[in-house]
Amino acid sequence: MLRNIIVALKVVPKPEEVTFNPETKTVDRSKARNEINPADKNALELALRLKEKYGGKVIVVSMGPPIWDKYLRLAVAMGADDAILISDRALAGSDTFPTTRTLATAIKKIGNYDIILCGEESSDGGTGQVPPGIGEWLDIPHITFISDIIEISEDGWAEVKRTIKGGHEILKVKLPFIAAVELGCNTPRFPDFRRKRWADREFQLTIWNIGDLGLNPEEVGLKGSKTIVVDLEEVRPPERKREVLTGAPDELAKKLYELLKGYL
Amino acid sequence: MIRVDFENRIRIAEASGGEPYKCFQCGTCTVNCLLGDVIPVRRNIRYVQLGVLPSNDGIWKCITCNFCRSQCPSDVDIAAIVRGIRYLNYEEKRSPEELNEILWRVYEEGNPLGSPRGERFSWLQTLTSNSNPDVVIYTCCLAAYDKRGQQVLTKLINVLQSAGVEVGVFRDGSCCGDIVYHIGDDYFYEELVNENAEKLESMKPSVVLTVSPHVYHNLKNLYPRYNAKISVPVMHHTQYLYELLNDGKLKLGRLENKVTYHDPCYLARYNGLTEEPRGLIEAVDGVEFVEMLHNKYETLCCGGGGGGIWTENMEARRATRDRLNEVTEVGTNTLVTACPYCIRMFEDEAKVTGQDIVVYDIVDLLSMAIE
Amino acid sequence: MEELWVFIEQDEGEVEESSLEVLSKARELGDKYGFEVVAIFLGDGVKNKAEEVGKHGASKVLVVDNPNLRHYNSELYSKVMEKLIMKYNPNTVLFSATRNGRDLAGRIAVKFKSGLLAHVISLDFDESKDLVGKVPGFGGNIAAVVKCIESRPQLATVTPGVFEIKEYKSTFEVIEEDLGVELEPKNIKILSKEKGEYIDISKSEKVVVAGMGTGGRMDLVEELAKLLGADVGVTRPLADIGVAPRDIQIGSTGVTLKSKLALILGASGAPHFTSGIKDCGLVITVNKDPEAPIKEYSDYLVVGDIFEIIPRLVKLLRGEENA
Repeated sequence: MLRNIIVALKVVPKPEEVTFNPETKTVDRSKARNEINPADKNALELALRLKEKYGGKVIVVSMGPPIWDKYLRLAVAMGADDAILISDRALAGSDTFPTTRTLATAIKKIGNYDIILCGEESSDGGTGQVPPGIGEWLDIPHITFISDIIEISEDGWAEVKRTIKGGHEILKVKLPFIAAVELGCNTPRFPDFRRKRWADREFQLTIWNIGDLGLNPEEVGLKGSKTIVVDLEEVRPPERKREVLTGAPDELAKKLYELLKGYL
Repeated sequence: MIRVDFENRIRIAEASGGEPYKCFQCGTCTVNCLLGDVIPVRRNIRYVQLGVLPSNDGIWKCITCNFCRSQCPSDVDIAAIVRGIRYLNYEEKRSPEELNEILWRVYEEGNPLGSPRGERFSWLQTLTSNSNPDVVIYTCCLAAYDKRGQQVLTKLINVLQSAGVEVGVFRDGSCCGDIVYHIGDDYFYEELVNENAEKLESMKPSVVLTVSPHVYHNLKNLYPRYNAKISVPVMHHTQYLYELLNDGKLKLGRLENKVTYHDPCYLARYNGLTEEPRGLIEAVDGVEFVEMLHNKYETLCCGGGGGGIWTENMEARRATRDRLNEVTEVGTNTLVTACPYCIRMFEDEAKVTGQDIVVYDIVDLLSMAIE
Repeated sequence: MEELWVFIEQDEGEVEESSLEVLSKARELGDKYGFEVVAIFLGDGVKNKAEEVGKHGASKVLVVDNPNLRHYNSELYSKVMEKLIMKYNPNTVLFSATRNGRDLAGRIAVKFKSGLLAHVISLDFDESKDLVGKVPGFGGNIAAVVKCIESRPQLATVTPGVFEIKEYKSTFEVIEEDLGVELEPKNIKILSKEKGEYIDISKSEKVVVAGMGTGGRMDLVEELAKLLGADVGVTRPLADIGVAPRDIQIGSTGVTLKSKLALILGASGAPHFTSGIKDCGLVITVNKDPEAPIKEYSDYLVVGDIFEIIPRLVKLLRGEENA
């Protein structure tokens, strides 16, 4: 029987809906809809499968504004047993250093954990630094880019599959540990709507501020960060001809052949 | 070995509307099934009668065309049994994992393709009215996101407007839920259809018009079962256009063409609408209409129903090809139909087989006749 | 002189090329800002490979040679890096942003309370020798210029393929470090490894890319690629469903192409994918939808059905039909 399985989850704007204003140098996320970071959904799915196989409690923890409430409820609808949102204005502008610190402190407060799972990276920042960072704060082993946890044995070791260049490796890692789960390695389950109704209406979401975690404002947010954003730029797609070719398949195949001929 | 499970037998039969009890295992269904060699139809019903829930591939490959029912001596609603089996498999978490992806797409984007919600009608240039229109069109997702479907929809709006009809479009709607129903997620379906019905009602239409027989079937026959009320008549566009024709509001010109008509399963077999489309086609002066071997209640299938069009159902294309061959057999290359699934399936498959067949929606035909 | 370190990744003695790209760039920065450039080379029996590493810009190659360092192991590697950093206090440590590089850097950053720039596409120092880099985000559409604030060591991972590998004529010394610590893994052990033939398409001249629109029909794609003398790449969904290995997945979570020719079949143009084709020469796409976002990224967009067009193209390429 496993103890707590904790999933650190982030909500991200859909990347294709984020726009950039080069004049004001600001990123406009206001028109973008949010979603649970896709890789984090894979992490949650893996956590739920582990729970089905080995027992334990799946707890989702996230650091973000109060409006993320509904995404945490969605995670509960998918099957998470509990959800905690760390929300505090002082956290704004955190880079990965205070982020990992805050998440690790919350995980310590939850306690009693065997496995912590995150997505391999977020689709907005994409640093992938959070899982190893949390591992260091908690002084537990970390493994990144895993596609599965194959087995957990009685003696407290887990067998995991990790993607490497050219293939994969099977590692044995001692519990408790933190792992970053590869995007697309499983199909996240669709929530049961009976549970979703409960999650939306009755489930009591826990909200912590930094005081609850014993952190002070100097340690988090911009002040606690080790990096600073000094400028923003749009990465423009290269100029392309964008010529549209239409016609019958025979014709198009010939046109393609003409275009490709020079490269044979 | 199979152990008879009486309790389960009742449970499955109830989920299938009692239909399994009517079957006496003659096997006509399997013989006639358009995908007979991948779907053990009779055997699945036998399992159900014995209280064993089948979860073989065939359950998910079925295109719910119910051609089997049209041939069944006991008139067993076999598609209802398939749906009951799917529902219970979904409840027991035994359905194919990939179906989760379709459900997520409907939940997040409101359509099974996963195309952005905001682009559902971004292509629609024609002006429509949203204050007390005569009709509100509830489009199928395929019609909204597929270029060909968009053409049909635009033409439909033009044809209606030419007959003096105030047209509104249901822009806030999501997927009608057809695919969710076929996957068997009843609780999501219930939530989805109630939300759709509520938004639709708030537009206060006089008539709800559908371009897809599947949307029609859902709104008319399934929504009420899930307490989603639509207080005004729901009509398929062929029905409404036929009324306009009979009222003398639809003026059609002349068009030289030899055409045949494919009855969509959910229009003809499920809802008995066979005369209205024929009436419209025959009203076009100069059009020679030929009937295919299988028609009306005994129509064949395009292969797109029951989720076929949204999943990688390669077997279903056999049904598509059989139908295309019947088109060729009656000596025409113009196939008229009245469903966005049928158009997509037939057009795609004709390209693969290399058959020179033009696929029209009735609206395409009427639109040409008006010009 | 302050030191600028580059972590040189290897597996079974085989050096990761993108580490050498970072080393070559580090040398350029070292010359400009007065750093001694040190290559950190961990592995098993790698001492005799130090020569081939050092020539790419190091003035010193620090080797830690131990049988347990034969493969990457986050526990052991971070332990060794910790000891080395404590001993020498480098100003900056750079990693290639490979899976292992990112894995290691993320841990070290917290260990030393360091700033860490993620998968940068440019790299420089400011007047107070704080590290500055450009970090792409939001699927590669927006880049942030990010600076480390007064932390030492300061860290960055560098996107593979951004900098060129260079050779330098200057001499360098090779120092073998004996850390005097036990290097026995306690928490993470490697049980087995399965590696297919690794295909590096980041440097391919010609690539045929398959998207979901191909329905995963890799036979057709591979046949075409063969006739064109091209390598095959895929979009993420195809790697997700397992018809192709992750190594040939293109985009922000995979490989960035630099090919002269990219022929893209049935990919709609999701942002995480298009960031992987922005550096290509000629981009030709085949897609059903003339308005698909991929159009923005195409020189030619052929509108049609892949299954109709490609078999005909194959016949033309085979010479079975005349163009």
